[in-house]
Amino acid sequence: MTISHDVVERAARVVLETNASVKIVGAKQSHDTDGAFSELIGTLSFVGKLGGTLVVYCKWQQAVELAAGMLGEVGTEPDAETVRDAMGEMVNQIGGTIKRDIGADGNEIMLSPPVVVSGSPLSHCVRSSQKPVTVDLDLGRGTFGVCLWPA
Amino acid sequence: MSTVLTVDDSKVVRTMVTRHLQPYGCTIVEATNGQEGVDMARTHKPDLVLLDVTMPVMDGRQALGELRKDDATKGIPVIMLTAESGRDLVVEIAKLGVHGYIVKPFQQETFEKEVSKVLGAPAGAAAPAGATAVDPKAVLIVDDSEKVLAMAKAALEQTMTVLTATSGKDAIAQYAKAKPGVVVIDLVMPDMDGFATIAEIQKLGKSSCVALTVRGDASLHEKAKKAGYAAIVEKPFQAGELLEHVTQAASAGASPDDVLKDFVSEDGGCPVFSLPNQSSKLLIKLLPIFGKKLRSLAEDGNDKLIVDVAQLNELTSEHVAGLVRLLTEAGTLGIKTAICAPDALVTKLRQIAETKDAPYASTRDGARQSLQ
Repeated sequence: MTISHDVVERAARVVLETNASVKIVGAKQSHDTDGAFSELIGTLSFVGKLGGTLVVYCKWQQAVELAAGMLGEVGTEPDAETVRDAMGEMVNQIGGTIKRDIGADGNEIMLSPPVVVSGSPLSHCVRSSQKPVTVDLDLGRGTFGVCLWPA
Repeated sequence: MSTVLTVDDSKVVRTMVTRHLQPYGCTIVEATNGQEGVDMARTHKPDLVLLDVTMPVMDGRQALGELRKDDATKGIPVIMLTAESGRDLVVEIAKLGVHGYIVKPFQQETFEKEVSKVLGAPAGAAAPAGATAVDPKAVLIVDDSEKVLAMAKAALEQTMTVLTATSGKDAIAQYAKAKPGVVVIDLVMPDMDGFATIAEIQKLGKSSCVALTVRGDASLHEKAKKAGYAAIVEKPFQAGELLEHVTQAASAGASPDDVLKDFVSEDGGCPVFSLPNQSSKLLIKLLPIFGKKLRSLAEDGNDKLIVDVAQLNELTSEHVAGLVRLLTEAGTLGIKTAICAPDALVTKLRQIAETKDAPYASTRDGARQSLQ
């Protein structure tokens, strides 16, 4: 069982568009990690038939705008705890959507609770023999990266 | 007023759920984990619990188990919220007794479909004080495009009296005279847009309003809901789609008794509930009303009920779920049920675990006799 770029992109798109009503103007698929440093990272692990680590990342201001969108308060600036909470929910829902998309049942693949780290600058790397599946979504005023590192 | 308990460790999700519950006008209480949720359910006795699956301290599965063990909370309807929806999870929570589950991320329509199974459909535009009665069989279509008006009229005129207006001002004049039960309004019109028009109509009567908007313009949806629109139909629309939304809006504006009169009757002294064929949304609205009627029948000493599904053209999953819920509630109240259905439907219903052992008859007479 493998997860393609298209599955990752589809999951990220549906979560961002549904939750935060953002308009995604483009997407770049690659096997590299994002060269630019981010300021907020959310991760969770896949365990079971398919193992790996899912990472989402973006600049702080981008995360603030996404959190405000999720709260239905575009233009406001939610507090830092709420922004991290939104990022955790985002990675959780992207992980769940990927799991549904590949047709996995509950016990075949289990998702860990999300972990969110903020600071500047941040980068991510997971020890893996396989190349990561990376999708950078262009949100117009910034990018939102999603990277799946197979175990 | 209903009370809804939302249990989720994410403040963002609780806020989103609260926003999605706005059309129901209910009181909302919040808990941040399963244990807190169980405690608050015991204290507040909510009409519905929206329960996240993955949470710290006590997860949703454990919390559901605790709620079902306690006599004080075991009857409270629960809808699970989950980012995952694998078959194993669905089976596991179904065994614990849930009224539904909502997969995150969710749209307002998906959310309302599940929540309305418990709370009933949200009310349309707020009723102003002193508003006079409306004509539930009439609909007013307001759009500056003659082409759209013609399409909408063709879609609705078989079932309702259709009035049309080409501007907000014209709509208000016509509304004041005819008081149609439903008003379908284009949001984008010159001079007076759909928001200004609904504001004036809400001052005159308590009709349900349906918005027409251009497909893909999602930004208007939230604004329309806040303005009081009960539903949104995107253009270009299918005739059936518009008819379903208007039928639902008409029933939302009607009183429970008005809605029930078409679906509750009596046959030889035995109450009969008929399931509607045409609209799954109408079925969702009817179920809680059927539930109240069942309780009232039980209080009056009735112990028999015929459920008539003979008029169904097809058996949808919503019909099966509604039928199972009806039979379960009747059984809980000590009411014996018989199902009146043609042979083709009986064959299908006998393949479903929850309905395979129900007594069936092809006529109401037969159903009544099976209850003797």
